[in-house]
Amino acid sequence: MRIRCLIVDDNPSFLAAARVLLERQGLTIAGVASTGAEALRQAETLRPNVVLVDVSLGKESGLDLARRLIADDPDDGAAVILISTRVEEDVADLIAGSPAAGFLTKSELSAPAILRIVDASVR
Amino acid sequence: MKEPDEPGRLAEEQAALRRVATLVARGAPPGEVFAAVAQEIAQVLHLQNAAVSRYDDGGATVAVLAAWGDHPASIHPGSRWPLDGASVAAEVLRTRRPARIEDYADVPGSLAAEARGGGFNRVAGAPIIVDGWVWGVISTSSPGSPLPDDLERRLAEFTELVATAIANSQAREELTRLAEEQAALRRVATLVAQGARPTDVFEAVSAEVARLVPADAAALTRYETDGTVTALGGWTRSGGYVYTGRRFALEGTVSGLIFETGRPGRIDSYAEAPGPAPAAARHLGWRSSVGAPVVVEGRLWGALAVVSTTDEPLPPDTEGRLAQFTELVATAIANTDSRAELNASRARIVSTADATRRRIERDLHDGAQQQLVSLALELRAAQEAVPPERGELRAELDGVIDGLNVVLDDLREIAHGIHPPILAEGGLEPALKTLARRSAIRVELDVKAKDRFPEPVEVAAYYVVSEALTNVAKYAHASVVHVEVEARDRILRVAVRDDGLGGADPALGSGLVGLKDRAEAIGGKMTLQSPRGGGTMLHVELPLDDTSE
Repeated sequence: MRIRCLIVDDNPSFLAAARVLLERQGLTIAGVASTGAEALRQAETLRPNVVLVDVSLGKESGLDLARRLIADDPDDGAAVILISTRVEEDVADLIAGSPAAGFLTKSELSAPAILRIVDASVR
Repeated sequence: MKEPDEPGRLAEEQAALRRVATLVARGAPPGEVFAAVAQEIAQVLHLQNAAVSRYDDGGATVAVLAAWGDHPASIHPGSRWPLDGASVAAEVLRTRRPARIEDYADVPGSLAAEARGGGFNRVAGAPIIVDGWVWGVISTSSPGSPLPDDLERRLAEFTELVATAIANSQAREELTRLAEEQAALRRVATLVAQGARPTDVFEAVSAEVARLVPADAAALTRYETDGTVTALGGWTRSGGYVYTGRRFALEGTVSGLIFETGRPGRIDSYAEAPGPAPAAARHLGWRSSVGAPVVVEGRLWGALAVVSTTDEPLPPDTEGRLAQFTELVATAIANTDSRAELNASRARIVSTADATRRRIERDLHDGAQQQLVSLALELRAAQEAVPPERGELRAELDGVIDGLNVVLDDLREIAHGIHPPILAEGGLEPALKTLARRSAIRVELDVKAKDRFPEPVEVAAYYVVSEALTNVAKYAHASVVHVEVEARDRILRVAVRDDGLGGADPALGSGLVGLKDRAEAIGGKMTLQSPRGGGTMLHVELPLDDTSE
């Protein structure tokens, strides 16, 4: 499966760095967004199959956005992966119950890690 | 002519005086002494009758206290007579000396008319002088036969004994009153010192002062800026004071008098007073009222007033008694104010510190952490571009990336210690779950409170659990810790219970003192039970209504 990725994060330097890295690792970055509204619009028009969503999206909640994205397109939608500068242990209780497909700590973000989660969620 | 009788008569008189003196020395009630005096005088001086009376109402009336022998029927103990016109009683009061009237035939006035009506034409009397005041009169009357010449001198011997009895019993009464007053003041002072709620202090003051005076009701009111008073607490003899919190107009009230003068005031009768307040007072059966100002830090703050439902005006020393209590009330109010200020400033300090920690955590997260994460990703992107034959460069970059990740981990730990981000983002339950998972001791967590609460409350509850878990791990040698969080009756309750060694003591240091401060700063409280060998139970209650300001 060809991964087409949308990255949602309020930090521009992270967006730039993540795009370069993931593209070099063979993924397509369909677009980036820094707010929830922008992300919902992009998801609608770009139809990515993976959306990376920062848990703490400035004043907005990444968790709410993840729920919206999945609720908007429950059957054929993208796999939503939550990301954070924090490690999974620190956010486990926060993201427990989220319908997202998985979680990645930003410093460990990579194409193989994304593919593992997508594979697991498809299966 | 009376020579032969003289020794015998003297002996009789001495015996009578001794009997009365014994009564006085024994501390017999004044009523008993008066009755004995009236009887002894009449018998020993061979008189038809004798009476002991007291001047009342500043000398406007005379009240008969004891009477013995044949009197006009209307002159009985308990009867009161105006001192209009002329009479022996009026003369004794005026001259402070014995007096007699040999013929009441043409004398004007109520007493004279009464004596005449009863056929008693001749009356003599001698003053009872207590503490330099003409307190009362001992008198006798005769229908026909002349009164003895030296009657006044012989009456005077008895009057001194009566005066002593009165002075004694007055002193005793005063002592009793003083003791009662001191006890009442002490009870209120204890309440104040314990930091009781102002309403409780006001109710206690009202009850104590009403019992002491005694009055039928008492209340404490506060002056408002719009010319009204608010009732803050009270007491009624019938039980239940229903006006707390109600506002009243000042016009026609004792509070109004006090407001105008800044001094104690009294209304001896509501009967004629105009305005709605006196009408309401009449409706309630109030007859008179006395009040005193409550001055807090130099400012007229409110008034303490008592009410009587009987015809008798309140005693003249009521104002003085009220004043003693108003001082305590003022202290209680000043205490409460300064405590409220203290709590507010503690709350400010705590919440400022929390806000600062939160800001530092956010700054770290948004700044250094984010930048390092981006840098690590950029390095990994650069690494991807390294040609496969440059293996040593790849390895070098790996080393740098690993180093960056160590720095990131360290930063994450620091940020975590400064302020738990999960608390702000997810609330108590996930934050406490994280704490429980990180705890070295097994934690059984029961969070019944699922809502979000004001930030200071969440932060306080979080630190209570965090600190308690740290303490348990360090000292308690427990196998399990129960943590329970519940919101009920607008209070968030946090209970942390372990099965360890017990014996925890805030005085020995540890973070327990800080937790107590934190709880109290937002109007809450912390209790600790830690019997040696019996585990430790930490209980914290945090009000969910903002009471810190």
